[in-house]
Amino acid sequence: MVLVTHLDEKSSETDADLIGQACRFPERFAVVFDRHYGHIYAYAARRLGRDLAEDVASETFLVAFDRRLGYDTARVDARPWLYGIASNLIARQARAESRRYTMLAQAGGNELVDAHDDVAAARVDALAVRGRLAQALARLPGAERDVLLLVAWAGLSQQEAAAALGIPAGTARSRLHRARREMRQALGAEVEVDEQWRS
Amino acid sequence: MEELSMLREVFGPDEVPTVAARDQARTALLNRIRAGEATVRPERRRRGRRWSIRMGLAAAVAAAAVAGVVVVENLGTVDEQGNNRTAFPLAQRAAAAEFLENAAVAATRKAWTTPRPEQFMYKESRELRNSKELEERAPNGPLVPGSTRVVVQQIWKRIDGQVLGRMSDGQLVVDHKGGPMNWAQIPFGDLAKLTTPEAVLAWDKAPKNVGAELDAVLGQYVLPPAVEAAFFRALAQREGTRLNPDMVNIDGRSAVGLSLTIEGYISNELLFDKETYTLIGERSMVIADHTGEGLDGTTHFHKGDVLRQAVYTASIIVNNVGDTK
Repeated sequence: MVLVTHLDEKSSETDADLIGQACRFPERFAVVFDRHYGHIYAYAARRLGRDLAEDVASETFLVAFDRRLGYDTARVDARPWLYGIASNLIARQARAESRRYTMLAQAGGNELVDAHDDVAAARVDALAVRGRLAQALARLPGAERDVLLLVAWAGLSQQEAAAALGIPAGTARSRLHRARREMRQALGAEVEVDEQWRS
Repeated sequence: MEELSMLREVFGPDEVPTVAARDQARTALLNRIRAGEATVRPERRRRGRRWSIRMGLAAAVAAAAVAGVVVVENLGTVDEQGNNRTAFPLAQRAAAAEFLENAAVAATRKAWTTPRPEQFMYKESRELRNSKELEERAPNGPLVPGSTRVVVQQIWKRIDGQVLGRMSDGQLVVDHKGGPMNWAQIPFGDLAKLTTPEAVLAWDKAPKNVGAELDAVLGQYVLPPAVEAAFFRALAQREGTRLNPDMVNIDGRSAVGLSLTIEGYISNELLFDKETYTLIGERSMVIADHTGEGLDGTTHFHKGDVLRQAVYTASIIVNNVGDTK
């Protein structure tokens, strides 16, 4: 078997074509890797940091290769499938993800800024917002966080996120809805004009 | 502000893997390819269909349960006379469709003038929230009777999408496109075209730059009457819409809940005034006991818990940001 090590990344073949071919010619799966490794790495890095992202991204493609024979070639784009595998691997690193968001949340409030420096002020604002969002992400149930971040960070549509996670579209919809609400609350879009205590 | 955009922007640009990391990962894959150690794990492709059937049954049982009949062995429901009172899923869906048709007709009776680009959609709602202390301890937890407060949300969206106003800590905050704050808004012109349920359902499924759930659009945008009616009729056609026969008391008004989605243990509802068929709020309720695992803790949900409840108190077109009538 000859392994092709320099593959044409600009191939017009779809992911489904390549994975289908990889069932008979396994080396074709390397093209899938070349196409998508960067994206999977970036997604894992956002959630876990660079170090763990290397492990998760590498493992994603090993798992995907092992499962290539079961890939539904009706799905032309393999991204949802790959992100789904990555999400499962990321879920095993829950503590690391939690630590990361905690660190980001704490970093949000430690900046001192010159009030006359607009650029610095804007940066502090962004850090503060990131801190609040990180805190909210840590509080989300894992199922909701997965859907939210597949949409926000992986750029999947809601339907693609549902396919990635192997859940019904309606389930993805409602999880995304709740997660977005939590984010909006973290961003503080509210005023308490009228407070009442109910008994 | 738009939370998805914020999530994308404030966490910085994508990390790029080092050449060494990429090479290492590629080598590992090539080694796997060479070794021929692949084990075949065929994916189950029909998992989605089985799941939706299971959820549908749970919905039928749960909805019948809230009507006050006894659930026996998850096989159905019986009343005190021993008669089987299981609500037929199709009958519930028909009731929901009928109710939503009435809501659609009521919507079309509203007076309407096409807004100018510089006018604003003003949405005001009163959201029931736990006390601040409780929210801090259990932000994802259910509402606790006796420890709630009402938070008023006021949002102004300019029709042309160029200006966003909101009240924050007692101050009116106004953001302009191109400024430091970025947000996304569904183009009003796109929404205005959705005057049939078919158009709404097609828009719902279509890829787009900015979108929202159908019930979220109803809650966040001021829609022309024909569009609002089309949204109600579209919801009637969507799988999973059920009428909750249990009456809800919302701010002293009797309301009917239209359950839109049920995710195992949660029912998301739109609330309608039962007399006028006007949309007056939304609610999320727990319909089965559930334990949720978060990174920083475990939350227990009990059947009957209310997770969210909001009453819509204004949905009008105004001339200026800050106007409330």
